[in-house]
Amino acid sequence: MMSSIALVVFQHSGYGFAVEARYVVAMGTLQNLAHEQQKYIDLSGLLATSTKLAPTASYALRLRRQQDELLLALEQEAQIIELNTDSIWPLPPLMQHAKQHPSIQALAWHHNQLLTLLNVQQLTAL
Amino acid sequence: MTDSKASVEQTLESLLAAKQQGDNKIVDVDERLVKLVIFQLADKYFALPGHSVKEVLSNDIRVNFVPGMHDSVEGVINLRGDIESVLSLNHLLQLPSLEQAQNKESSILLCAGAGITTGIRIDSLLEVVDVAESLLKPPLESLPEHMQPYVAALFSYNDWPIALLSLELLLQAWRTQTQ
Repeated sequence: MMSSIALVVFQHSGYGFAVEARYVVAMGTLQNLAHEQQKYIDLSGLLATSTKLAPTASYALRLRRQQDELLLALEQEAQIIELNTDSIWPLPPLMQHAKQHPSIQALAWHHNQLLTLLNVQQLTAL
Repeated sequence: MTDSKASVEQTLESLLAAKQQGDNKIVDVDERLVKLVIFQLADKYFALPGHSVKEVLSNDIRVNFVPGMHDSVEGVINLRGDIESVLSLNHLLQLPSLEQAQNKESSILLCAGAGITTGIRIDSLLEVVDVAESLLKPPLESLPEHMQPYVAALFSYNDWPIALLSLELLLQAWRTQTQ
């Protein structure tokens, strides 16, 4: 019996990302999810993908960390998927060493696209 | 006639003596050969031991960029269901970074050593040869400082001055550089 894991998948600057669905409290429009005390994550700065300018974010994910919640602004609406665990890979050893942020956790293939899996607990707010 | 015969005998004698001397020379027909994969990066020539190179992958293979990595990581490839990293050595070797993936002669060496498997981007594969071990010379003191930790030997082939790299030491230096 093949096992699977629930992920929330989204695009940023043309690249595919995912976070574990169990850490996603809510997903929807930025307007609906944002509030005054919200801590935001700047994925462009975090992952240095600024060579492709992100258009204005319209959607968001509210993520639960151990101590607090963060809002991750998205360019496009996110999707929940069930991904077969056979499609998920740890980072190759040298990439584990060369990653520029601790939140980069694993890689996965979904519909022939590479996804970078982010560890929500390691994401940092602005 | 006698003189002539003596001359012939002398010549024959010297010939036989020379042959005898030649026979006494030790010809090492069992000299150790090492298989080397010779490649080019920018305008420089390098080699890796054949046992370190598992496969040469053509430039047709799709390299997927992974955001948030050091610039020396080109991306990952899906190789028969396994994910392998693809590294660029240009920064480490202090060579200009060209649009290697767009170079038709470019390829990827799938290398393995010290428990690690990874792809290494090269500009072109030149030769896979067996070279007599005696032709490998220790690195010169004048070798650029940044290359000293991972150049195992120097040799010449086809008039190319070639630096033989140790994969293990190369990856160790790559790790240090990406810290």
